[in-house]
Amino acid sequence: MKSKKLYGKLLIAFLILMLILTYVSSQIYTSNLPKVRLDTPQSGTITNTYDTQGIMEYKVKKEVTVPVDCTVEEIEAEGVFNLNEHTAVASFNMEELLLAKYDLEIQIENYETQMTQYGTDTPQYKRLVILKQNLEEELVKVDDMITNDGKLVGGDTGTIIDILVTEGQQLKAGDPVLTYIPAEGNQLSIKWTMTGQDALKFFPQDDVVVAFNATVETSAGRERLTKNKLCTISTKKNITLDETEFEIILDQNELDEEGISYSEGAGVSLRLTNTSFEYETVVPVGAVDTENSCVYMLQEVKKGFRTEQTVVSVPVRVLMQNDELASITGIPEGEVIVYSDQPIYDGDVVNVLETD
Amino acid sequence: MKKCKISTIVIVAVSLVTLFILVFMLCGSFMSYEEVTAYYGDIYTGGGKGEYASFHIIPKEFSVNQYYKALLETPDYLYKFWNSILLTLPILIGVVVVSTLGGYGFAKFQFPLKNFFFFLFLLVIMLPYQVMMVPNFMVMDTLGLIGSRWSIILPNIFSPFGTFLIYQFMRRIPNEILECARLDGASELRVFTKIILPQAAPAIASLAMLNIIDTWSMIEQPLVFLQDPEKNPLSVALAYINTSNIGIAFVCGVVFLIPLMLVFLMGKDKLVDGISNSVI
Repeated sequence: MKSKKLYGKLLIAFLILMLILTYVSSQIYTSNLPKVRLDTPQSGTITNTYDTQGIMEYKVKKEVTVPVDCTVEEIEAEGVFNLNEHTAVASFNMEELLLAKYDLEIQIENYETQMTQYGTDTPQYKRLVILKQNLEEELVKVDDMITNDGKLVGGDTGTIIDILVTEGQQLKAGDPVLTYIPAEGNQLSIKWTMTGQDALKFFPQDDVVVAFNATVETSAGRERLTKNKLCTISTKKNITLDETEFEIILDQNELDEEGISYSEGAGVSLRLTNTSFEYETVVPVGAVDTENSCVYMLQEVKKGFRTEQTVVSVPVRVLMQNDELASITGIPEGEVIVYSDQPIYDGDVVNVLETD
Repeated sequence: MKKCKISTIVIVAVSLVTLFILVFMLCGSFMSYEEVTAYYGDIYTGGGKGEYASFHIIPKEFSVNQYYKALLETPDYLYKFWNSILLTLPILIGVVVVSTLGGYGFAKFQFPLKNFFFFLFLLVIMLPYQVMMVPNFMVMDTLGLIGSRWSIILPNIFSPFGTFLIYQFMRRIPNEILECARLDGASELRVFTKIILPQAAPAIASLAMLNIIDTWSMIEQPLVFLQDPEKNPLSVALAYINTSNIGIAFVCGVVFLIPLMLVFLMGKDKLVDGISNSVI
């Protein structure tokens, strides 16, 4: 009878021991599992910066031309930076101008005589009208030059880029005397090259509008900073992995307001920052397994007495990333693993750390 | 005298063979993983096909590493143990209740077609369980219990053998005792609990022990009805642990055996009493 009781007690003791061992082993098992932290993807912007060197170019350049054949006697615009309607560009030989004026007047008379021979609806008549108008415009210009003692004036406002003639130079009708950037509606472009790989990383879509921070360093060594200008990257079509040329267009007026001096061909230090696009799903960059292009999520799996958190890999496409964040697409709703103290793979059982 | 000696020799020989298995398992559980693999690993990996495993019982180096791996490193094997308990306990309670009442009914009450129903019971006892498995599966499937522990517990609660065993035992209880109790004003419940149950205690104990042994060791039913490895009892798990880690299989074998041994040692007298009185 005593032995029976002893065996009964032993059985109970054995069951208690098994219970304790089960508890202890499950604790040990849990503590050995990879520890992960979860986070819910949120929408947001991803700031990426790209430093490069660009070349500044004027989008619109105009020329001041001579209306007739003549010889340059003196360069008047030497050392002049700003051009206006009355700025004397150069003075020309007065006799040549007077002769040119007479020639023009004779030609105009000839045209008028010819015009009387045709009906007003005939093509010949219309052609003669156009030719006559052109000559009359040239005659006005020559008259102006004669009135100004042979001086050619700017006739427009802008900034002189280059003077193309020298004193004593013989010019043909229509030859440029100088080039200038008109003050109204002119634009500057800054061009740079980057590899397609970098470009695709930086511009996920062809027509993305990026915020632009440019530290502009002109040939004169001056530096100014533009204030987050929204610029369209105009050369984004057909991006290949090779070097591709990109361009941003800036309004000259804006640069003038910012006090940025510019010159054709000047080197520009560019820092491009793309902060404008709002991505739907943004996760910490550590959450993305870049090697396998996937993120890891958790699935609750009921296994006998316990519920296990099992890792499930979800293939994703990374739209944009920087050192901290990545924008992804292709994941279902739910939390993703953003941190793990050990490498994790599909099907691994993990221990979820409480978020702080 | 000579006959006695021969029977003693036979008994000792059989005992030694039986004990050898237990000793082999116990010693194997205290070997290191490397030692077990070196001597018995080939049996399961196929490397020793057509050859005999090396005879090796006493561990070269006493190690509890296999126990640590099986009982502390992971709770998987212990969960299997508790799965066994979760199947065995409800079945035991159910079998005892149903079989005792059924046996009492057949032994002490008269009702129409009693002999026919009893014959049906005997018929079911004669059928091997494998034959019953398909209809059982269909019934459990209809009830939506496949995959649940109830798909094993419910069919096993209704044990024809248990009813038969109790019936056989209760037949021996004199009807006069019951009549006296009833004359004294005892209700049927009182008669059953105060007279029948104490009298039938050895048979109930035998039934309980036989049932524990039977349920603790079952393999086919969990495999067919549970369909989830996580719910498998230790008896089923032992089959695949053997092929994956022979060292842990020894440990699990020991863990598997201990409750059965203790239950047997606790109730061996009643087991013998119950069976012998039911048969005579």
